[in-house]
Amino acid sequence: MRHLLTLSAALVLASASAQTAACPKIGGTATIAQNSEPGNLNPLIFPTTYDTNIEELVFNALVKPTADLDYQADLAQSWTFSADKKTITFKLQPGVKWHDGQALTAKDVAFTLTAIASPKYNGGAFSQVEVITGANAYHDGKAKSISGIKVIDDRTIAVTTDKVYAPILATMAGIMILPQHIYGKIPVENWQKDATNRNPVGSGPFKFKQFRSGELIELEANKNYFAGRPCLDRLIVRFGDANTMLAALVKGEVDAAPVPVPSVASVKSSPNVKLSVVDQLNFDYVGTNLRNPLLADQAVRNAMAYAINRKAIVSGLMSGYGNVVDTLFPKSHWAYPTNVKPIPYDPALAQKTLDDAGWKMSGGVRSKGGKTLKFRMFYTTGNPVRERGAALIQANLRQIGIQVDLQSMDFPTLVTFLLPKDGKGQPRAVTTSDFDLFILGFGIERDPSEYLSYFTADGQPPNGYNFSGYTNPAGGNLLVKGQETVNQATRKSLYNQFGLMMRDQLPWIPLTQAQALYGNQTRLHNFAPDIRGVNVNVTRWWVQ
Amino acid sequence: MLPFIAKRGIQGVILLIMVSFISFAVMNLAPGNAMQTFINPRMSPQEITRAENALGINKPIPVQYLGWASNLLQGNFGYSVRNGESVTALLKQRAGPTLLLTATSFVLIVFIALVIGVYSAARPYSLVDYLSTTLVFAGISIPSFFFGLTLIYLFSVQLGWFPTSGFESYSAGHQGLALFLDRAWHMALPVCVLTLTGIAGILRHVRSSVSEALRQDYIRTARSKGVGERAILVKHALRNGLIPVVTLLGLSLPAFFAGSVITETIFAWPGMGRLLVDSVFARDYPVSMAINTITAVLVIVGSLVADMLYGLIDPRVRFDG
Repeated sequence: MRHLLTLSAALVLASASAQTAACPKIGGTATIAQNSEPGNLNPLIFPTTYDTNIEELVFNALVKPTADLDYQADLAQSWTFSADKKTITFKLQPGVKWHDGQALTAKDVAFTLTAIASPKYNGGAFSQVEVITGANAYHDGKAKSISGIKVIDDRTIAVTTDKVYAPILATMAGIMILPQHIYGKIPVENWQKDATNRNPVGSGPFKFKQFRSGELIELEANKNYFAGRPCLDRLIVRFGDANTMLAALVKGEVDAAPVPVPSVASVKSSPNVKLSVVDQLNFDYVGTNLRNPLLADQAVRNAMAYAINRKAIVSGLMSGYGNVVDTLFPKSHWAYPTNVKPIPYDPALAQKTLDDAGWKMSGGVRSKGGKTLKFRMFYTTGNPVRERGAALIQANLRQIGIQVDLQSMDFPTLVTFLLPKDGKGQPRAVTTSDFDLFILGFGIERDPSEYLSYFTADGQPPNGYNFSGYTNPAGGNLLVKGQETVNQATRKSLYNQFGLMMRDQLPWIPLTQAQALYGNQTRLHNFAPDIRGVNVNVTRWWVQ
Repeated sequence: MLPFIAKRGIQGVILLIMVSFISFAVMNLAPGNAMQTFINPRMSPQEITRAENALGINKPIPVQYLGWASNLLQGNFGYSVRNGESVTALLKQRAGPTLLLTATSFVLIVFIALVIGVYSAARPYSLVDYLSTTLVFAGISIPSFFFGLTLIYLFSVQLGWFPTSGFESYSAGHQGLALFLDRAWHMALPVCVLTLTGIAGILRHVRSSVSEALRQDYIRTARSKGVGERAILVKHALRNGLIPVVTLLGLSLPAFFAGSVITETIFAWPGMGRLLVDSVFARDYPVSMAINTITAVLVIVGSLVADMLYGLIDPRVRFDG
């Protein structure tokens, strides 16, 4: 016992000194900018990226990702899998307190997971907990609680799934834990409109102080944060137009802000501003409607891929701040198959491919058997690279005899084509005529199992996001196996195979991956955004 | 006068019902809705449909409109889909900063337009007249986003005289007089944009109505009676010059509330204009509808007020019920 005490005292001392080492100076205020205002700050009600950026400062999940997209402790200190791999038991960090001083226990975790499955919950996260044993029964009102969630003691909770579910840690990293003593008093059906949406109480490194609509969110350091207090005393997050926030950064009114690519020069010429270039997980692609027999022709998809000058998009439209993508995983993702054959930019090969497949050129357009290679291509507005890239792709395809009519629209409008509705406003299946081609971005998550909804026959709308109508079981089976395989090496090889297959079959033609650019005033130290986002090491930021 | 107001009031209510129904229908007929802006791979499409049904988005538009209108009659604008906050609370936060900006620039516009307008009318084709005309045309021709960014670049980034954006120096935490001065300092550039781009019309109106008045017989009579030139300008001509100002005041009433979308966006001003843009992009219809409806009410009230003020300024105007 005595040894134990000494040991824990030593640990406390060690962590205290680690803290001072991490913070050359404690105190002060940093102001960072983002380009859009967050909305609802309940992390379980339809979170957007802008919401999440704030929510992860105020709340914690059980686990959080590492820079190489594995998982590390957050609220959970450790976790163990049962022998059959279907039960995961989380041990929580000791002595964690909510910002209002109440203790955070396993009951809060159980409450959060159960609330998402409530029949009255309407926040978009139910599909994440659906895999837990008994979640569907509870969701349908057939059970009073979820049998797969067991609170063992104040610091221990076990979660059981029906089948082996490999992405369980990814799921848990995406669910921020809410305090039962606050949200338990609000009927779940009212969460969308409750005052807590603009005044959240969490357990994270920063306490929420105020939300000034159209201006800022102010946060103050959680001095009792279980992982060590942040170096800063106060963090202000301002929202504004990208150009305005950049001017504010250059002038020093904000300490960090996203940098639009066309403005890189102004950041490089400011001696007090440091530029960070960060890889992202999202990439752009041309999606196809495989129900259209012309697009179901592999030769047509291959030819399109060879004809598109993706390097020109990166060098010309992104000023080099991006990469060409050759499969459905960007190079920075663990599932990326390193042996993937790059898609060549080769218009001559594209011509030959179409010639060989019997598509004859006449009057600048190719046709075969009375069918002409003419497609509509939908793309979303608001992203200059994508808008100008669409015109470039159109010109590239015209060269090989494929005629494309461009139609721009905002994202919600594009969704009405990809996830169509019937006359009564209810979702229906996609048909050949809903769309031909579309350009869209895809933010691949840390866990690639989400592709199940995009590339299995069952995932076709209205059941999932398989807009393209990819029904080849070869690809789908790899994804099903990937979800049921816990061994990381085996998983990796399954997704590598899937990546290679998608490179060959090209249901989506991958285009490019943009890098994210941030600038920070040199008075703000340790600002180091990475693939996980901008705030990953926020507790170590300090100001002079 | 009273029958006039009553008649215009009834017309206004009918107009308001039509305006609100049409804008409600147009918004909801546009493809896509708020829920679709939330789509991400981790939620199934069924969940989006569930949320749409809970919000009533898939009901027929007349049914949705009646629901919205009956809530409105109870003083409830509903909840923002995007923010999860009551629309009334959002509007309350945003109305103040917009009013501050628009009212300040309006006072400046009226003051400058009257001084320069009357002066140019009294001394047509003088240097001041030419200069002001040039300035006014420059102001009306220059896009406000370009003008705003130019001001930020010159006076904030290069010279460092003014802040680039925002409502106050946030990290400073000023109080009292310091806060007042700090806000005035932050207002300088946006007010400058609104004033210069907004002055053109009113200045030309003041100049033409005053110069027209100066050619009238009663002015010649006054002159022949020996009334001084200054008195003629201030007492007689200015009264005519005020007529366009009154019209402008009436017609500006909605802008006092709705603000300027572009100027507020460029200067990250926490006003109504930006709220409207954000809500339109997010398909957050409860918020856009509330701003639309209040603006429509103010347009109707504003033109009624302008018509009534005419009568006070110009005795020739009569209200014939």
